[in-house]
Amino acid sequence: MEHLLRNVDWNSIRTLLVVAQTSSFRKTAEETGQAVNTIRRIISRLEDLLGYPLVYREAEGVRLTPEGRRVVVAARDVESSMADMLKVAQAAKQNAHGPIRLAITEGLGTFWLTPKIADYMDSDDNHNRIELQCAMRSVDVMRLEADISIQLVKPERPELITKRLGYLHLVPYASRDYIARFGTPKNLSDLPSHRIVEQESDQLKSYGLDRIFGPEIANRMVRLKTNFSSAHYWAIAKGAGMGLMPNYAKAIGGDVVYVDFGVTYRTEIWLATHPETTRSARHRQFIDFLTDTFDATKYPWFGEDLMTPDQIDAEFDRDDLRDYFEGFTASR
Amino acid sequence: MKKSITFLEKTEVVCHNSQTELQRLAMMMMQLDMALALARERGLNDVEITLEAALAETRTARERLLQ
Repeated sequence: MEHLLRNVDWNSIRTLLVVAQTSSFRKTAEETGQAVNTIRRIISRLEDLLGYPLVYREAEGVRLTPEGRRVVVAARDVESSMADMLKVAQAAKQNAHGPIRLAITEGLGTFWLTPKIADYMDSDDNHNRIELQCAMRSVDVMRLEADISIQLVKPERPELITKRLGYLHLVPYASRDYIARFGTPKNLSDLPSHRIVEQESDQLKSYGLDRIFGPEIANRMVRLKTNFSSAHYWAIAKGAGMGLMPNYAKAIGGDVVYVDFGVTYRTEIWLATHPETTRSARHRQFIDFLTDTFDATKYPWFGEDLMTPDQIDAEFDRDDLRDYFEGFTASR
Repeated sequence: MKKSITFLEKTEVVCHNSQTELQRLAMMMMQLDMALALARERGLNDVEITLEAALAETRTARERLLQ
């Protein structure tokens, strides 16, 4: 009766492979540095485990039985698969300084993350090239369009490794010039007399003004629409109209003021990555860095509760943040 | 010519299609067990854990098939 191998040791399998190659217990003993009797014992034990003979013992040497041939072929397959796997693992190790492809929404990537990445690169341990893909569309990390994605919509595929990094609070802003010309709205009902700049993309919904004011009025109010955060910021700073931006937007340095008429919007910031990606040490280290970059204990505007731009301004007096956005806007 | 035909007739060709489900599972288990032995020898702990799980799953499938 056929038995199943259980807890076999690789030395026995290796010995069988050498026996198959040399067709001799004696030559196997010479090649493996074991006694001939040990070789005989190993093969007999394997035969006992399996329940069938592996070799014909003949006067001129040994010859594999058909079952023995099958076992040898199976063992060679295993040996070569494991060798391939080790080569891949070795390559991954050597590739420790390979690129890290991060997809992130354009606003977070450009305004918040890029200065952090510059600091990250200054560290002696971090020599990886960062490929920052800033875009407003969601990338598919399962299809390896990027190694890591930071996005404003919760990743839905269950195979992904996901983590909520924090929250993004959006509040209304306008330029000082705009406020001087059009005044400050006190509440929602004042809005129809204002120009609205709207950002809409895969990951950011429109403001939904049509649901509040009806399509005709909403259509008249929204005078500029963009899918890009930098264009959106620039448009607001240049007086095109009022629009929602992250509550830390004033700290970036543009000539924008917070317009408080009781409307804020909160969205979650998610990290998504392919399970294979987390096997790589350099990616794990980078994920730790990203997690730290959105840590609400250090940067409380990414916390669950809303901070006003004035409260955030005070935070930017901290030593580690004073120069954070310096150089982005021209000094006057 | 006759001799060669006799030889071919005696040769047992084992391939995926010529095996029963039980034989395929037995081969799979044998290879997993060998791979586990190799992983243990090389100290590949992560691989070992994965292979043990795969082996347990194959054993369960075999037991189910035997019943």
